[in-house]
Amino acid sequence: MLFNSIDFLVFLPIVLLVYYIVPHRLRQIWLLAASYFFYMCWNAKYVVLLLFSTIVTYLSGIILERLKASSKPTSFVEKSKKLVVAICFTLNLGILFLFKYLNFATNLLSQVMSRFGISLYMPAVDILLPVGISFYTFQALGYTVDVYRNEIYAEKNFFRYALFVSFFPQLVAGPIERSKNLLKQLYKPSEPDFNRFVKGIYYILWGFFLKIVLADRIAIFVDTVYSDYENYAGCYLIVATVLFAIQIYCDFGGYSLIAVGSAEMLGISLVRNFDAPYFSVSVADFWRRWHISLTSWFRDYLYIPLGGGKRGKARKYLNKMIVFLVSGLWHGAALSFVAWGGINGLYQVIGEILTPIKEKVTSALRINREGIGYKLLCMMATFALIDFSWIFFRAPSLRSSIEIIANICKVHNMWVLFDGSLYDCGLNQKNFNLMLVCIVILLLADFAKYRGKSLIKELLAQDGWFQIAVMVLSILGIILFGIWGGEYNETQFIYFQF
Amino acid sequence: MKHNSYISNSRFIMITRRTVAVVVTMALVIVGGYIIQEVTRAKSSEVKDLSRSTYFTDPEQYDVIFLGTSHALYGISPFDIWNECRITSYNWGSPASTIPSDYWKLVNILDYQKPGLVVLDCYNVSMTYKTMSEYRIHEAFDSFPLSYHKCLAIKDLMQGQRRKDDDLIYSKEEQVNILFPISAYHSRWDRLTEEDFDYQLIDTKGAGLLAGVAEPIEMSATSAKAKLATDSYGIQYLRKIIEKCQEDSIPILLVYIPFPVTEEWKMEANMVYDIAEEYELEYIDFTNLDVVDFKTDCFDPNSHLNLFGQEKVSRYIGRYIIEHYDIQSYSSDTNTGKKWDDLYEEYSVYRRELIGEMN
Repeated sequence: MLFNSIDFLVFLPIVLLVYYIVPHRLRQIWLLAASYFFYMCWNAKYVVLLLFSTIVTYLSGIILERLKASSKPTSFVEKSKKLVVAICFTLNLGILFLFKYLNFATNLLSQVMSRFGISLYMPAVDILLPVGISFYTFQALGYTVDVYRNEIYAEKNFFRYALFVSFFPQLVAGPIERSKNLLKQLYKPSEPDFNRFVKGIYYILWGFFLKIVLADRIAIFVDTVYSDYENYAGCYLIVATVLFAIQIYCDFGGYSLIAVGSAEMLGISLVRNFDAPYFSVSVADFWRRWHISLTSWFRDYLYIPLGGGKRGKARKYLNKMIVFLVSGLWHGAALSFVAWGGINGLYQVIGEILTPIKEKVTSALRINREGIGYKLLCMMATFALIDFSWIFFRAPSLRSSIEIIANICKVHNMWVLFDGSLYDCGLNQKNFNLMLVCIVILLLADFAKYRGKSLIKELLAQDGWFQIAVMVLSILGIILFGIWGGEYNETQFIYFQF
Repeated sequence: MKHNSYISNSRFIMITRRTVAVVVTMALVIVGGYIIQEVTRAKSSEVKDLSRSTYFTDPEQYDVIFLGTSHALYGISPFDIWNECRITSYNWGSPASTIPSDYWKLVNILDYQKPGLVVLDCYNVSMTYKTMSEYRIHEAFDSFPLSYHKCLAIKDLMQGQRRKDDDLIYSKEEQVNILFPISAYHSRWDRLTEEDFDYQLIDTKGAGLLAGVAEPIEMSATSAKAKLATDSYGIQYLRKIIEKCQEDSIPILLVYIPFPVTEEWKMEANMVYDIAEEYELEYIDFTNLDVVDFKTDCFDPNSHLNLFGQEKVSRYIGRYIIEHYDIQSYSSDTNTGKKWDDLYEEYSVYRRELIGEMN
């Protein structure tokens, strides 16, 4: 079930109520049952894959722990541990490959072979992608590596471990949790805490605002333009691409916040996934603020094992490119996603190469690198670079991405920004203006976060009556302005249609 | 002891304050949500009053209830009936309604009153779908407050059911949209007008008035007794309506409002004779009567009567009801009589304006 659905709005209160009523020893069992129920609402039969991943990584943790404690020779233990991790990774990534990448791989192979004149017929396998598989697979594999590295002890309680893998707030769309954070919290179920409860509600409300008021509203405009990019060329595409940057942030960020808020209401703190990413002053900074749980996962479980930055600059750049290409592939089984990842990798590499030159130039020109002007310029440049890469993420294919870029460059129609043409792209003037107002609200909130201020913390410190007013107005605002329910259409109410 | 008592007092105060805060928040959200729903709800569509507010102010005043599709909605005027025979009635016709919808309208109406007579237009009795579309269900049920019978209606009409418009099964969200109209209407925030905040109703007792004259299509004749042979949802729910009325001791009159019929519709009208005979009910098949003149009384070529045709049909039905059913006529010196006479004056002015616009 989606977070922005009636089902979830009924599901969450029931889960919370039962969680705080049942005895402590049953709480985790209840959460586990609720999490599996949550997952089965998407597609019941794929729960087998979730269970398989859970069992494999649970057993790998147990075996690794036993190997550590064994009295066998160190070399044997090390080789065995590596073998266990390799088998675990192979099995889990194998399933991920089968369900997510098989058709992509066979198509790609077929296309490559055809360039050499070899015709290869690879029938497409009709498999529905299990929802959340990329997320829970990475989370479970992260646990295995943590045990391998002796960063944590293996979890002996299967049910507690299963809950760690399947914890419903973050099961289908992250944040990807670390065993050191989430598993530790599952040891001691917390007592009801009213303030945490309220904090959770604030996170959820902000998440719904981002998702259904802003992201889904922007999507109407972006979908209109991107689905007909030949006719909506030039400035239409520029505006749509800029808005897409905000849409994807709000969509993903909103969803993450609802996950964080739901967990908070259960007394569990999840990792924050976004930290005012569009206030980044460089691409490297952006990737420290965007989808933090995934970026840090790749850093700890791919970049560092590849050697990180410890084997010379060339190897460092290569490792970064590998990480970003894999990250692109993780996001979607298509060349456009790989291109998106690759572009971001290139940005990082080029950014690092140019850093000394940048420092020399700014020094020579006596530019204050801590000044607002310089930072603003860096933020805008970073946004432009990131936004360019979003074209590859949003476009339906790699070829479309190139065509869209061409359509942006070859058509000059700046007047559409001023003559009301933008109101013909799915959003009427009022909705367009509302969208702009909401974007300003988002920017102000993120600016506060950038400056280290937590608006939710500030809110929690206010008087009760004020908090009640904020909460009531937020809920009513989301109800009134959110994109949900049926779209009212006068033409459907024409009396003589039957 | 004092310290413990102080702590437990403080704790009690804290719990009380928090409970009050939660209750106040929820209450404000519910009230606010209700206000949003009422403001954004479409009060009228084209020429009809979607809110049906005049019905709910005093349901007991209506002795006769009309049910049916837009044929009934635009074919029967309670005020023309009042003018003819001074009986009170309310028109619950709605566009593209179906007999199953009409069954559930009746069940919900019975939560508010027990009418002296139910008149059901049997157009669409041959339909094999329970409903046309989500919007038609909105038009039929939005005016009913949320209630047990409204939930049952939505469950029966939509859960697992296909709609005629596109043959798709209703989703859960669409069902929720009907139960909570705010889900469909909240997006009207960008189209609100003065009418949404200060709805000035022309009281037509639920009826719609169509001002216009159209050339009718050519009607094809068919043998008098030929009928569609289907065990449709229409027939099933027609039986349910009749049996419900019998259970509640409410007389029911079946009608087929006139319109330029083709052979298929004539055969549909003929289907009702068997049911009427089976249950020993009166049935006015207007397709066999010369009550209207389609050259002057059609609003559109093939379906709806204009207000001239509406007046003729209404007077006929009014006289029929007085002759065959025990329905009270109100004299002008009764409260009801005075109230309806005043309302009829307003209605007449509105009707004359519509005719004036036609000319």
